[in-house]
This record gives sequence, structure tokens and C-alpha cells, in this order.
Amino acid sequence: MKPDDLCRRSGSELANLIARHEVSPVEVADAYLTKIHDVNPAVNAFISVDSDLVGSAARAAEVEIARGHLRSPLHGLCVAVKDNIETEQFTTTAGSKLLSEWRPTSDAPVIRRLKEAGAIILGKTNMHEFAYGGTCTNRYFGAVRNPWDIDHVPGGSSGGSAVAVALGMCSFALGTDTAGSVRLPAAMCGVIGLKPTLGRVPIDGVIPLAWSLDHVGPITSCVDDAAMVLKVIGSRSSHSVKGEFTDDPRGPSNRLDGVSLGIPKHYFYEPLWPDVEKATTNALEVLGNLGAKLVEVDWRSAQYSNSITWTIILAEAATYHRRWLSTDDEAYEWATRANLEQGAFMPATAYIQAQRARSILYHDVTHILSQVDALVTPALPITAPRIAQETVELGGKTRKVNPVFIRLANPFNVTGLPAISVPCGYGQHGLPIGLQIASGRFDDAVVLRIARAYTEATDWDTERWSLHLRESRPT
Amino acid sequence: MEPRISVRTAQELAKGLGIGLNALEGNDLAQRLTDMLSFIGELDDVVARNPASMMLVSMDDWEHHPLSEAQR
Repeated sequence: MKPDDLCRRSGSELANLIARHEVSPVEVADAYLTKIHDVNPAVNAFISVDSDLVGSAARAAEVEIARGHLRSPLHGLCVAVKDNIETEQFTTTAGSKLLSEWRPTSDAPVIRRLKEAGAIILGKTNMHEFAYGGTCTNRYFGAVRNPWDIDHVPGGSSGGSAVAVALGMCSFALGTDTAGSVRLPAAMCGVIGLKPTLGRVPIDGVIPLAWSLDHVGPITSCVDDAAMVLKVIGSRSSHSVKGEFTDDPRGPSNRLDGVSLGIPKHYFYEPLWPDVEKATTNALEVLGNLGAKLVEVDWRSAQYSNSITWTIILAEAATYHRRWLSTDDEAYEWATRANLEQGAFMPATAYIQAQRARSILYHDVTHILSQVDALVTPALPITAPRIAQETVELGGKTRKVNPVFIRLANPFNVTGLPAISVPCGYGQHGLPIGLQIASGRFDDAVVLRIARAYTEATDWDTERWSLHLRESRPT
Repeated sequence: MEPRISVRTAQELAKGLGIGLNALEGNDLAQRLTDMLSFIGELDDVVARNPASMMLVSMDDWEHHPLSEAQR
């Protein structure tokens, strides 16, 4: 099989090929290293790649598998890891000059789980500095570029991970999501991004943006891959109260008969860019045609999610960075430093009010989810803006980019519920649009099942291979 | 939203709280503090809807919170 063909295969497909000894981990790793060499200069998705380490790990996997010891479906697959997750063999910079030389002494638990399962750490991906923003216009390591149009942002803060998956530079990737940072770049790059239930995947060994909102999640090229990765990195099994769903998203069929989907029009559907609204409407029609019952629901308190999110992030991030801000403030990018300085003003009483308010949103949405199986919304109200663009027009108003990015995603960080973004169309400049599906606490399998049914019924998630036509564009 | 805090007040507040500012200054500082007041006002509104709500520090707390039991 040609190297480029391997790069176009999903992780699940490669896992099958490796298990049948039709492809070796060395061939897979070599294909990715070649792809990274060829296309990464145009998009700047990686901060570090060590071909010697990758080659060594791939050869070890090859020998082990040849002897008949296949550790898991991830054995021999190559993962790109966001650079705020600690890895003992690579620097962990969090996208910052401040940590540009820092090499942790141990792996984060999520990395240990991947290695024990046989996955090969391919490299560390570029990101928004300290995950404090959604554009990945990183000044120290260079801006990450959207592969669909390199003049546009990839979304963030896990932008490098999403770009690496979109261009076939890895089998799958890890990102972190505090207010949408896995789902938003996945949506803007046309791939799958899963934020699991809060508490399901350990966040130890992750350089925090805001501890109480941070999640680790997979970015993948198909829904089956997201389920496959979650099985390895998740620390708790699903205990879905909806018995017909299992951890395996492959049900007896991809029909959604008997599944009810809540459509929270208030807040989540107003305002949207027209192309996003059209794509979302079409997606709902597809879900209805698959047998799902669409029910309009009203999650009124979600409108407070932005205030809750900003209050918590401002306070927790300012706390984490307090010492560095007094000793190394010149090392931060201006925008990060300004946010951290702002956070120092946040009163403790406001932070506590925000944590109290979370429980109200959680109980409101739990009540809604006692009546429907899942919620369906756009992942974000716009498509990817241009690099360095600070504002967008939305609903007749000029708005800052970052608050617009996160407003539809952060309700599920505030409430800790599982949520996924899957591709559902294309908007201005041919840029991808994401559909968000969320469900109840530890009902990650419900999210995956619905997402799988939708993506199997459409082909938006395979359109990205047309990107190969654009790889030679200059930066 | 227009700044509701003057630049001078914002700077005096920073000085009083001992917050060293290198990035923020002038209207940007005043605007950001105004935005924070807006967040805080919204939080007060939502919490006022459920005065019994507590600060919960983990999802397990949320699951077993009296408010949760009452809503069931």
C-alpha cells in the first residue's frame, strides 16, 4: 500500500490492517513522517516531532505484533499530542516561550494509558498559548493554519491536533477542551472532536487553563476512532441509563428510531451565520430521516454560560500563572498577559457565584435530558475567520472572535456533559461547519451512537481528502 | 458596552489591590473591568433564581446535591 494511502485511512481501518499483518507499524509511522515533512511547513501543526523516537517505537511494536502480542486496537497507531499534555520524551511547551525548553519527568496518565495500549507518540502539536484562546495565532511557534484555506485560523486551542488529523499526519490526536477547544478546531477543520464527560478522562499532567472546566478528548477522522480512543483513555465505563446504547457505537443498524433529540432553539440557534443555519437545518433533516424524533426544548439558563465560563477561566488561569506573571511576564504574548492581568481583578465572591451557577445549569439541562436522549446544536455560529481577524459580524453586531467561538460549546464544559462535533457542511470560502451532539452525564456512548449514524448517512467527513490538492500552496 | 468604570478608577483599583499591570492600560483596562461587572451581574441574577444553590466542587457533588433530589 502506498504511503499516501495509509495516511488517508482512519485509525480503525489501520488497526484492522495491522491486526491482520497486512501493514506494519513501521510502514504507518514512515508514512506519517513523510506526510509531516511534506505538508507541515504549510500549516505549522507540530511543535516537535522526533523521527528517531517514532522509528524506534514503531520497530518495537512491529516485533511485538509479529510475535502475536497485539496489546489493543491502538497498537502501532501514531498519535499527535497537544503540547500542554506532559510527555517525558518530548518537551511540553503549552505553546509558550516560557516552557519552550521544559521536559517533564513523567508522562501524564492519559499518555501512559496510550503507551500501555501500544500507541506511538508521534509528536506534540501547536496550540494557542497556554490554551488561552481559540485562534492558534501563536507568535512564538508561529500561527497554525487552516488546511481548507491557509489564510484562516484552524480554531483552537487544540488547532495543531485538528490540522494534523485533517491532513492525515497522524492516526488520531489528543486535545484539551476548557470551553470548546477540542470541538471548535474539529468543526473548523472538518474532523471529529469529542469532549468526554467531565471526570471520565484524567486531566492530571495537563497544564491547566482552568482546572474545573478542563477536559482531555480525542480528535479523529471518524466516530469509530473516537470511540476506540475513548475506551483506552477513559477511566470509567459508561453507565448509561438508556440501555439500548453501548460503548460500541456500531449498533445493529445506523437507524435512530426511538431516539429523541432536543433542539434548544433559544440561545443555541440565534444568531447564526446563514450558511451555518442552513447546514444545521439540513443536518436535522438527515437525523429525522434516520428515524430520530426532533423535539424543541428550552434550556433558558444556557445564556449564562458565557459569564460563568469567563469568570471561572479568568480566576483559575490567573491563579495558576500568578507566580510566573510576577517573575516572567515578558515571556507571555500580550493577549495572554492581558487576560491574566484581568483575572487578577476577579473577586473571590464572583468566582464562587460562578461555581454555584454551574449547578443550576446542570440541573436545568438534566431535567431536559430526562425527556430527550440528546441535544443537537451547531458547534459554533460561524466558520473559521481569517488569521489576525479580531471581530466578526453576527446578528447585526460586531463581536469579538473568541466569545463567539465558545458560546455554543461552553455550556457543556460548565455542565460537564459529553459533546461531540462532527462535520455537517461547508460555508463561506468552502470552510467546514460542525454539528454538536451532547447527552447526559457518562452517556458518551449515546453521543457516539448518534454521531456515527449521522456521519454514516453523510459524506462530509471524507471531503477533506480534496485538501491534498491544496498542499502545495505557499505560506 | 461602553466602559462604566473610568480609566483613573481602574488604575487606582489596580494600585489598591497591588496588581502589577504591564499589558493592560487605559480604556482597555476600563473596558475589561466593565465586562467583568457585567459577568458578575449575570451570575447574581442566575443564582438569585435558586438561592439554595451551593458551590459544588465535583460532579459527584452535583449528583447528590439536595437541589438535584428535589428536582427528581
